[in-house]
Amino acid sequence: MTDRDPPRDEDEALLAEYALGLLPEAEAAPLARRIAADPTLAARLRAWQEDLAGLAEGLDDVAPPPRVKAAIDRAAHGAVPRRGLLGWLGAGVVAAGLAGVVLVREWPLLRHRVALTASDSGAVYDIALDLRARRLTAELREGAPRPGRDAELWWIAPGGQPISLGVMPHAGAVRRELPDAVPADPAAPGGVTLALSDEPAGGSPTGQPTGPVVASDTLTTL
Amino acid sequence: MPRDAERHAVEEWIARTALGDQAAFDALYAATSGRLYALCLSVLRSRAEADEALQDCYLRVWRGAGRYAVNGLSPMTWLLTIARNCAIDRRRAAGPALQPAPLDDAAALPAPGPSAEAAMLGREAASRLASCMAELDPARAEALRGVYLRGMSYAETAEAQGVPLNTIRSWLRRGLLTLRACVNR
Repeated sequence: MTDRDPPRDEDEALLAEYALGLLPEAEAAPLARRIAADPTLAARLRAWQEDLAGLAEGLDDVAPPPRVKAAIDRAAHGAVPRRGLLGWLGAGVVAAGLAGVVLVREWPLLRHRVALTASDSGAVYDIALDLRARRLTAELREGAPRPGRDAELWWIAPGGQPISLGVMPHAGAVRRELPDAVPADPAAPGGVTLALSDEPAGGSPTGQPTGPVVASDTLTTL
Repeated sequence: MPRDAERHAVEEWIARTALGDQAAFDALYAATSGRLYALCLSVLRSRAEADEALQDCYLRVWRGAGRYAVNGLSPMTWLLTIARNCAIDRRRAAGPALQPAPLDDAAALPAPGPSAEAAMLGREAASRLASCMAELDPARAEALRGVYLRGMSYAETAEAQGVPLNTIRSWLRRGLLTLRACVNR
C-alpha cells in the first residue's frame, strides 16, 4: 500500500492519521512511544494538530445549555462556594487586563516563590517568601518601573486588609523582614493573594493601596 | 493586534486555571465553549451526547491546564483537540448505534458572547488550509472533513463509499500528504 513512500512520507501520513484518531491501537501505541522519544516527530504532530484544527473554522458557535457548566462546576469544585478575586482586587485585575502569573513553584509549606509581571511597566519581579525565617526577597529580573512611580507589593489574606510588603527594587534584589502582621501560621498561605499596585515614588502614602493593581498571583499550598 | 491580544487572554486564562483560579476557568469557558460545543455536536449529532462530551472536555481542561504550557500548541488548537478527542471517545464507546444522522435538535442557539475562535485560530493558517483543501479533489476533501468533523473511521468511510478499507486508507493518506505539501509551500 505505501511501499513506494519514502520513510518521511510514511511518518507524515502516520502522524496525520494519529492526529485524526484513525490509527488502530496496534499502530497508535508504537507511534506514541516514538513521538514521546523524538521531539522532531512531536513537532510534526503538533503541526498536523494545528492545521487540522482549521477544519473547525467553518463551524458556527452553538451555546451549550447552562446545566452543562453547572455539572462541570460540581465535578470540578464540588460544593465549595466559588471565591472570586476580592472586590478591590477583582476590579483592579480586570482593569489591568490580567497581568502577572508567569509561574508558581510549589515549595513545601513555608516557602513560596512567584514571578510577577507589572502590566504598566512590563517589569518582571521574582519574589521569594520564607515564612519560617520571616523573610522576603524581591528581585527585579527584567525591565524597570515607570519613572516617578513605584510598584508596591501587598499580602492579602481572604477577607483581610492588604498588608504592605514594601516597594519593589529599581535594580537587583532586596531582602527584608516580613511585617508582624503577616501570619506565621503555615496554614495561612492557602488562598493568599500577592499583588503589585502602581503607587507614587516611595510607595503608598496611606498604608493601603492607592493605585491600580498591575499584577497578582495566588499562593497555594499542595 | 486584536488577534494576538485574544490569544494572549486565552493563554492567561489557561495559566490561571492551572493555578485553580475558578474565575479564569469561567472566563475561558464563556469564550470558548460555543466553538467546542459546535465541534462535539458535529461529531455526535446528539445534544445529549454532546452535553456529556463537553462536560468531559472541560473537566480535562480544568485538570490538565497545568500541562498546557509545555505542549507547544496554540490555545484554541489545544482546546479543540481535547474537545474532538472527548467527542470521538464518546462516539466510539456508543458503538454502531451512533451513526451520522441529522441533528436531533435543529435549532441552534446563538453563542453567549463574541466568538473568540475565529480571531484566535489564526486567520492566515485557516485560510491557507482552506485553499489547500480546495486544491484537493472534492471527494477526498469531503472524506477528510467527514473524518475530522464527524469522527468517521476508515471502516465507516470505506462502507459509505463501498470500497475496501485498504483502498480508502491509501487514498486518504495520499490526500493527507498532498495537503501537507501544499500547506508547507
